[in-house]
Amino acid sequence: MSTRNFTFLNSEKSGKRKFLKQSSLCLGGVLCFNSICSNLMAENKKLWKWSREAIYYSLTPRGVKCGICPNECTLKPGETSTCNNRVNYNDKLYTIAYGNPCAVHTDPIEKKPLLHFMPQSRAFSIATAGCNFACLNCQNWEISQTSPRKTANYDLMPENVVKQCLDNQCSSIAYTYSEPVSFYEYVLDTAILARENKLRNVFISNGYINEEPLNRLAPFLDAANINLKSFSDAIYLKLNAGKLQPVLNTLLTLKKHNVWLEITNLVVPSWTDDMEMIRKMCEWLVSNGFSENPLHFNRFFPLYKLTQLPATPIATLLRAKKTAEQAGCKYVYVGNVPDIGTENTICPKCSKMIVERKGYALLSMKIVNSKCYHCGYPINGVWS
Amino acid sequence: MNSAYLLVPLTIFLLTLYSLSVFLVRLSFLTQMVHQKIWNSALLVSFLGTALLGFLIAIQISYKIEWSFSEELLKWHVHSGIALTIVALIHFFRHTGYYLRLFRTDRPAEENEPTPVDNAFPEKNHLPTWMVLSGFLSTCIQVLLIREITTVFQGNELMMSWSLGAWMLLTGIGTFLGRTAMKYEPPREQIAKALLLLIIMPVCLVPLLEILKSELFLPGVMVNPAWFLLILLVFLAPICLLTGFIYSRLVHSNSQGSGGFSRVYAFEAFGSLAGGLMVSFLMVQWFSVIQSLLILLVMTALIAVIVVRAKKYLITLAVALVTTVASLLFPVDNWLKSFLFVNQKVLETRETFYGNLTVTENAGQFNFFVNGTLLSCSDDPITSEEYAHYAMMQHRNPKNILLVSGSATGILSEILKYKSVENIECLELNPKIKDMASRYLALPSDPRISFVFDDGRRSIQTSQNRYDVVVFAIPDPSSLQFNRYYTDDFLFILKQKLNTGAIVLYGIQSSGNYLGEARKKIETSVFQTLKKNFMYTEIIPGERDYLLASDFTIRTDISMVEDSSGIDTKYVNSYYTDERSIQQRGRLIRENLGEKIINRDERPLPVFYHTKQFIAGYTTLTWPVILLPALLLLAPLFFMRTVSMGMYFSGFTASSFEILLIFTFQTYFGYVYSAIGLIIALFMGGLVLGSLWANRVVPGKKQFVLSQISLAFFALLFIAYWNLQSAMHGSQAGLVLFCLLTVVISMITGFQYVIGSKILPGNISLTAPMLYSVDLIGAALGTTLITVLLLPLVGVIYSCFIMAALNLLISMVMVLKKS
Repeated sequence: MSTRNFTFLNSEKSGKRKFLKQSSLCLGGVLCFNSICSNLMAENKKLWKWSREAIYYSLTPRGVKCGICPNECTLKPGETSTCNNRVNYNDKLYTIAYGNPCAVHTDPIEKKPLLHFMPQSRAFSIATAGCNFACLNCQNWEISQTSPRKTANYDLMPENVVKQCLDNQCSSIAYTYSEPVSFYEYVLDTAILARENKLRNVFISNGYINEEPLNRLAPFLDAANINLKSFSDAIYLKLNAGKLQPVLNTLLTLKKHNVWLEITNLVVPSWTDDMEMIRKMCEWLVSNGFSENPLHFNRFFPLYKLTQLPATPIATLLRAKKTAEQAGCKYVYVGNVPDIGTENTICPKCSKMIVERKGYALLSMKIVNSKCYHCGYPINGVWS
Repeated sequence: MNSAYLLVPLTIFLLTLYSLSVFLVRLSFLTQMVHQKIWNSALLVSFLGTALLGFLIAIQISYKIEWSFSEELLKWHVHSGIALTIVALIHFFRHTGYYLRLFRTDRPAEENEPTPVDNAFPEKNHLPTWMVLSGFLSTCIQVLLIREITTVFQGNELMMSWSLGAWMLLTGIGTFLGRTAMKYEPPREQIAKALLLLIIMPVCLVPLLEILKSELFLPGVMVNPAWFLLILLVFLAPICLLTGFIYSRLVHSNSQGSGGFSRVYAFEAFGSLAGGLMVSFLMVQWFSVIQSLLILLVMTALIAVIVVRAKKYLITLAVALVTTVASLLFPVDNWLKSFLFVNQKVLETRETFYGNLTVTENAGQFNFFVNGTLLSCSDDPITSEEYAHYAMMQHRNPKNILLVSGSATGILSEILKYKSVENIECLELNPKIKDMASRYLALPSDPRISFVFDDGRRSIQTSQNRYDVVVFAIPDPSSLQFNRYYTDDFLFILKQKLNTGAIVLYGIQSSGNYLGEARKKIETSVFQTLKKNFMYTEIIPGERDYLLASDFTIRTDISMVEDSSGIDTKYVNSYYTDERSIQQRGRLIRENLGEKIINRDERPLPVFYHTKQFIAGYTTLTWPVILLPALLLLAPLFFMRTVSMGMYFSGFTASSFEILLIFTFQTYFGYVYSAIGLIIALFMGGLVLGSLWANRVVPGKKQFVLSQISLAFFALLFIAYWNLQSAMHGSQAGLVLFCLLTVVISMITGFQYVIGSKILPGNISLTAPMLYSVDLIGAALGTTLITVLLLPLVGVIYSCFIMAALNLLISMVMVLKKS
C-alpha cells in the first residue's frame, strides 16, 4: 500500500482533486448563502392580502418608527418589528396581521377572566400571531413569538368577525390570547364595526401600548383585562422584555375612558411571589383609584421556557389575596384553582356573599341595579 | 442569560484551559512546542471567528438584510472578541520578555529551549493498572456527568444525544492531539497525577455547574440549546481532552510491549466495562453524583498510593477521604440542588437507576422533579381529575383499572371514588417515585390497589389481567422511551388485554388556543394510531389534550356523563368544564389534524416533531440546529483518506447500532435499565474479543476492507433481526440473538481498529491514537444523528440501509484504490 493512500492528513493532495473539492465547497457555500438571503429578503419585503398601512408611525432618518407601543421599533425597509407584526415596506409601516387571525374560539367571559362584566355571556375570541412581549412563561408562545406569515390563519376581515360573533350568539368580541396591541389596526376597525352592531369589545392585553393609540381605541372598548405581570421594572425586563410604567399608564388611561377594567397578576414562584412587591402593587392600585376593580391572582403552571419551576402553591395565592385585601383592594379573586371558594364576590360593606360562582357557573347573584341586595352598597361592574 | 455577554465565564474557562495546558506541560504530557501551537491556534481561531462574524454583520448592515439570528450573530462576534482578547493577553504575558527585549539596546542571545530529558517509564508492570483505571474512570465520569447535566439542564433527547456526541468528539480530539503532543516518556507517577486530575476536575466542576446554572441563567428557565451546547463543550472539554491524552500516552508507553497497543485498547475496554457496571449497579443506587465522584477520587488516590508509593498521595487520599465522609454525613446534595430549585426547600434528592429524583417544598406544597423537570405537585386536582374521570366516566361498570405511571399524583384517589372498581393496577417504572410520594403525599392505602414496578409495556405484554379502563399518565411521545406507549405495535398488544367496551386514555400536552405545526403532527400521530386500532376515538381538550379510544361510543358531553355517574369532583364537572368550548375546540382539533401518520415502533416520528417543537421555542432555524453539529462532525472527512474514513464510518455505524440495539431491547424486552450493565458488558467484551482476534491475524488491507463490508452486512442482518423480533415478541431466542448481535458489532469494530492501526504507515504509537480519535468522532456523529434524526425520521430499516450503503461505498473506494 502506498503512503499516499493511507495517511490521515492529506498533505500531498493532487492539484486537480484539491481544486475540485475547494471549488465545489465555495460554489455550494455561495449558492446556499445567496438562496437563504434572497428567501429571507423576499419574504420580508412582500406585502400580502392582510397588509394594511399602520396608523401610528413616523418617518425618521433611521427608518420608520412604529408608534404603537413603548418598544417604538425603528425599522429600515424590509425589516420587521419585534412583535413580528409590522414591516417597513418602501418607508411605510404596514401591519401584516389585518384580518388573518390564527386563533378563533368562543369562550365564557369568565375565562378571560372578567368576573364583573356581563356574567354568563360568551365572547367571540380572536388573535393573530405576534406579541410585543417575550414572556418566558407564555402559554400561547406558538402564536405570540412568531410571525403571522408562519401560522395557519383564517381569512376573517372585521365585517366577518362581527358576523361570526353574531352567528355564534356571542355578546362580545374579545381581542385576546396573543397580544391585541400588536394587531391594533385590526382591533380598531373590528371594534368600530362591533359597536355599530351593538356588540361589546373586550381587550385582554398586557397593556403595553402608547397613550395616543390607546386614546383612540378606548372609546370603543367596553371592558379590558390588563395583565399586570409584576410591580418591578427589573422583573418586567427579564421575565417579559418590557417595562412597568407604560402598563401603569394604560391602567390610568383606561380608567379615564371609563372602560370596565379588571387586573390579572400571574403569581410565578421565585419571580413574582414576593409579598412585599405584591403589597406595593396593591397599594399603587388602591391609591390610583382601582380598589373597586377586580384583581385576579392566577396560578402559574410550568410552561414554555419556565419549566424548572413548580406550580404556584395555593397558600401563596391565598397570601397574595390577603395582602391585596389588607391594602384595600375590594374584589380579589384566585384563578386556576378550582373549588376553594375564592371565585365568589363578597360585598365590601356587609361582607355577605353577593355572587356565588363555581367555575364558569353562576350559582346565585344578589346584585340588584348594580348594588348589593343586602345593604345597597354599589358593586362596580357591568352586570347586564 | 443574566448578563448580556459571557465575559466572566469565558475568561474563567480560557484561564482554566490554559492552566490545564501548563499543567500537562509540567507533567510532560505536552511539549512546550505543542502547548505554543495550541494557543497560537486558539489565537487564530478566535481572531477568525471575530473577523468573519464581524464581516457577516457588516454585510447584514450594509445590505439591510434581516436575519432572524442577527442578535445571535452579534453575541457570537462579541464572544469571539472576548476570547481573542483573553488569548491575546495570555500570548502577550507569555512573550513579555520578547517584547521587552525589542526595546533593549543590548539584546542577549536567544536561549534555546532545554532539551527534554528522556524519562523512561521505569516499571512497565503497572501499565495494565493505569490502562484499566483509565477506562474505568472515563466511563464512570461520563455516566455520572451526563446524568448531572441532564438534571441541571432538564436534558431531553436532543440534549442527551449532544452530550454523548460532545463527549466522544472531545475525547477524540484529545486523543488526536495527544498522539503527537508527547515527546517524553513520563514516569508512572505522572500518569497517576493525570488520572487524579481527571477525577478531581469533575469533583470541582459538578458543584460549579449547579452554581453557574443559577448565576448565569434566570430562575427556572430551560436553557437555550445553543447555550447548552456551548456550556457542554466548555464543561466537558478539560475532562474529555485529558481522557484522550491519557489514552494516547498509554498507547505510546505500550506500543512496543507484549501485545502492543491492542493491549491498551483491550485493558481500557475492560476498565470501561467495569466502570459501566459499577456506576450502574452500585453508585447510582446508593450515592449521589458528587458522592460517587468523591468515592472514585478516594479509589484513584488509594491506587496511586499503592502503586507509586509516594507520601504526597497519602495527603490527597486523606483529603479525599475526609471530603467523602463529609459528603456522606452532611446534606451536600440538598444544598447543591437548592441552587437549581430557587426559593424552594430541597427536602430530598437522590439518584436512582432511572434518573435523579428531587422533592422540594414551597409554601406547604410538595413538588416532585425527575431529572430536573416537574413531574407533579401536591394540590393539583385539575390534572388528577381530568386523567381519572374523563376515562372512568365513559365506562358503565369499571372494575379493572390500569394506571400507567402517576403514582405521585392524585389520580389513584380519584379512581377509587368509583364503587364498582375492584382492582387498580398501578404500573411505575421507578419504585423510588412511589416511596418518595408516600412520604410526602397522602397516598391511598386501599387493598384494591396493587403496585407493579416494572416497564409498563413489558408488564402489559406479560400480564394475565384484562382491563376495563387504561389511563396513561405518562409524558408525551417526546422520547424513544415514552413513544413506545403510543405506537401501533403497542396498541395491538394492549388491545389483547382489554375487556369488551374498555376505554383507553392518553393525556398529551395541550394544543391550547392554536395547534402549531409540530404539535399538529404529534397529535395527528397519536389520534390516527388510536383510530387505526379502535372503532371510536375522541379528543377532550382540557389542561392537556385527552385522547380517548374505545370500541364502544365515547361521549364528550362531560356534564351529562358526570350527572349520570354521580361522582363528587372539584373540577371535572359542569361548573368548570365549559361544554360548548370542549365540543368546539375538540372538533377544531380533529378538523385540523393532518394527513394520516401512524406511529410505529420501527419509525417513532413523534420524537422528531417534539425535537422540532422544542427548538422552535428558541429559534426558527430548526434544521440548522439539528444538522449543524452533524455537519461539523462530518468536516474532518475532508481531511481523511481511506483507512481513516473507513474507521470513521465504523465508529458511526457501531455507535448507531449500539443505540439501535438498546432501542430494540427496550422495545421488545422492556427492561433495558436493569439490563444496561449486560449491554455494556457485551459491547465492551466484543471490543476486547475483536482486538484480541486481530492480534492473531496478519494485518492487511484485505482484512480491513472485509471488516468494513461485514459492517454493511451487519446492517442488513439487523433489518432481518428487527422483523424477526417483531414476530417473536421478546422471546428467549430473540434475547440470545440480541446478545450475539451486540457482541458481533463491537467485535467487528475492535477488530477493524486494531487492523487499521497496524496497516497505517508510521509509528503505531501515532497511528493507533489517531484511528481511535477518528473512530470516536464517527461515533459522535452516529450518536448525534441516530436518536434525533435518522431513527425517528426514516425509521430503523432505512437507517440500516443508509449505514449499509455508507459502509459498502467506503469499502468500494478502498477496493478500487490502487495500492
